[in-house]
Amino acid sequence: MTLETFVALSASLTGYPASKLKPELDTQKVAELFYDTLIEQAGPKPLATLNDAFLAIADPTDHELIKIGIFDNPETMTLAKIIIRMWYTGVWYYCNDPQDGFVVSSKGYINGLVWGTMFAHPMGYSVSHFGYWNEAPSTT
Amino acid sequence: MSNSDTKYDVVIVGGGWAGATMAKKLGVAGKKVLVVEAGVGLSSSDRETYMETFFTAMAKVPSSPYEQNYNAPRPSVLDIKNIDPADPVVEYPENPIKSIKDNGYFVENGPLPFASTNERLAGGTSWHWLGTCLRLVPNDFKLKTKYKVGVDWPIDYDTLSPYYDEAEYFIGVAGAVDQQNGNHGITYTEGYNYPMKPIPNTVLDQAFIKALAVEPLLEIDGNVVEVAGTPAGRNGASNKHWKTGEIYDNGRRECQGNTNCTPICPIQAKYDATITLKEALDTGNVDIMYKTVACDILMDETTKEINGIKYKQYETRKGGQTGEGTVYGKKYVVAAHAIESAKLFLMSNSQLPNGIANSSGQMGKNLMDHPMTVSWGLMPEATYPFRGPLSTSGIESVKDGDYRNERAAYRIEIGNEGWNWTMGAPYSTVNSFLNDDGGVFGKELISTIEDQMTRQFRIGFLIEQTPEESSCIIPSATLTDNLGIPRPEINYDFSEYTMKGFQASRVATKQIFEKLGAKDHSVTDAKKIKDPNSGFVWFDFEGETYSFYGAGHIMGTHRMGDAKETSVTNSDLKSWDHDNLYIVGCGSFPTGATSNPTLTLVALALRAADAMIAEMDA
Repeated sequence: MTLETFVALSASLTGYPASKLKPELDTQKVAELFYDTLIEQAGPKPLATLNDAFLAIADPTDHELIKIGIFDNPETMTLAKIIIRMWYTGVWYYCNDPQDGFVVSSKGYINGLVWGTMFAHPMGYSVSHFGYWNEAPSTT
Repeated sequence: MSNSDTKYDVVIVGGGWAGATMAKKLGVAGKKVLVVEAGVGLSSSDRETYMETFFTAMAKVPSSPYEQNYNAPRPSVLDIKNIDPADPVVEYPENPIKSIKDNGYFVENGPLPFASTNERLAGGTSWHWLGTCLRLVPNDFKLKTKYKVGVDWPIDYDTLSPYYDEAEYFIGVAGAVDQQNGNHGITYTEGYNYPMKPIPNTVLDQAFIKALAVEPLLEIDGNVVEVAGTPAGRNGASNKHWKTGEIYDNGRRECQGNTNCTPICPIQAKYDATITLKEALDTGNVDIMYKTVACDILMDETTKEINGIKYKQYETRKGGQTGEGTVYGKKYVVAAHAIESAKLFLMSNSQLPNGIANSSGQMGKNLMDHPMTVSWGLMPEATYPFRGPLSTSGIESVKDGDYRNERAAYRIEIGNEGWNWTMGAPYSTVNSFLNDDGGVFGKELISTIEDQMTRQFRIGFLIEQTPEESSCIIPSATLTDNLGIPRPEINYDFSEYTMKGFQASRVATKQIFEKLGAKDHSVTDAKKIKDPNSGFVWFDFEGETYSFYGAGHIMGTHRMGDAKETSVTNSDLKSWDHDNLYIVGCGSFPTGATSNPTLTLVALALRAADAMIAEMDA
């Protein structure tokens, strides 16, 4: 799987556009971090299967096609979910057992998508000002 | 070398909350002090290192930033589990590192597991405290007289009140007199104000206030349920000093709302005892020995005065002993934490078979916590958790009343970290949306997280635990740490009075959630709680199963009192048995009440320091 394919697949799975996952002027290189982790951790066979299944999908923005071809596909669903979990939490889970895994790195933790999705910040990594919590966040 | 040859007026064992407080006050008063700290010392890069360890820890529990030190080990919540006599843990007496790694530091005899933890390093458990700075209420000091429960304290609220004032400035507390004034009889010195204005409350606190203001007001056992802002040792906007008019400035930053007070504030906006320890060292009168574990207290056979404390030293966390010796002072303070202090006295039994400072037989007994029930659910509308400090408000209006004749009191902490504590959110929540038999992805995942995670909340009941002799800590006869020092062995249980407090908390949860219009997701089903994979610890009471948590409020093991037959120290925290020995820390508390104990611990330590100084200057 190439980095480009990984980012496109990740966009389909996470719901966030590729431009957010891998911004043009990217100082954090989170996509690269998660890509390297994937290459290192996923066996070559599941990775090739997922790669082929994704490339076979005519329109990767079509939710139904991704659901049938990847997310509900018994051959690819485990790795697909591991990738989603990694993007959202910064944790690589070895399988679908959410007990067993490791935090990819502090950068991975801090850049997990879940925090922003709930309009918050990673625990221990707020860049906001004193008292911000007194008002609801902007959700637009 | 002996007491009379030493240059030190005072030797203090422990550089945590109580030890640092005493060291600073004594050092400022010109006394020569030596602090003996079991754990690793202070360096400017500590916080950075600890943050990195925290970020990369899978389980972000209170101890997660602080690496285990097998020469001065500490417990971890990850090791707490129910005790099954049919399935005892396997220990390796010859291999302390493996034993502690496998089973945790505490040797738990039960019947219930002790669920609280502490840290052993310079600054002590203040590294991971929440910051709550509540005063006790007047009736907390006279539980026996008022409700025929437990024992009375040897001092009352009015005696401690000026020391609360001092402690609030010592720590740097953001709060307002009218948040607590009048609450169950709490009063403040005329004209007093806190050093800083209250920490702003959260969107969740505001939703609680709004819902609870709707008539008819919710009443529980004679008290109206009201939300109050929690005074906290976190930096906020400054006040002018109530006496001098000077603008308060402690040189540290305002809270940035990292939602991480426990296990570690990344910017030290939250006070911790390392600040005081540094200030103590800066007086020029205080020396410190790090990685130095006190292991035996010696006594002059004639005068009964303490005349030396033996120690062992190490260099690395796993390396074992590298040195030993004895320290001497004219007076001694043991401030090693409720469990370690009691253990040290009981271990020191070569001259007195029951241990030093233990003629009452109370040393190590009456171990208390604020055992907690935590209830969690979804609010009807988004209240945006994981923004702001971990807790900024609580329900303090229910923590005293005639019901205390029958059952334990509680205070309720409003938590700002969703289901993080109980269920490991956000990880568990994200994982639950991706379960094996389906789940959601893409934009649907985004909207599911948005909808549910922004509504997560929890409340925690800090339940009063009565002092019982049967809940106690003793040095293990067979198991040691890596220096060969006994591990603490703990016997622990709740009285029926305390269990009735749990019972009442379950009723209150229903009433409060109903008032909020919130959906309860707490696990109360016995089968689910007892599932070994659930991670809960629990007990059964009158047909119900209750899971519980520790609050980290470890109290009672060297209680003060009015009489030497029934207590370890007097109210100055001076040992009844040894004229030059003081024993400070939460272990001094005769009863536990419901307020987080740190502010009271500091107030008592400041008072003890005054008593020592007066004695030395006499």
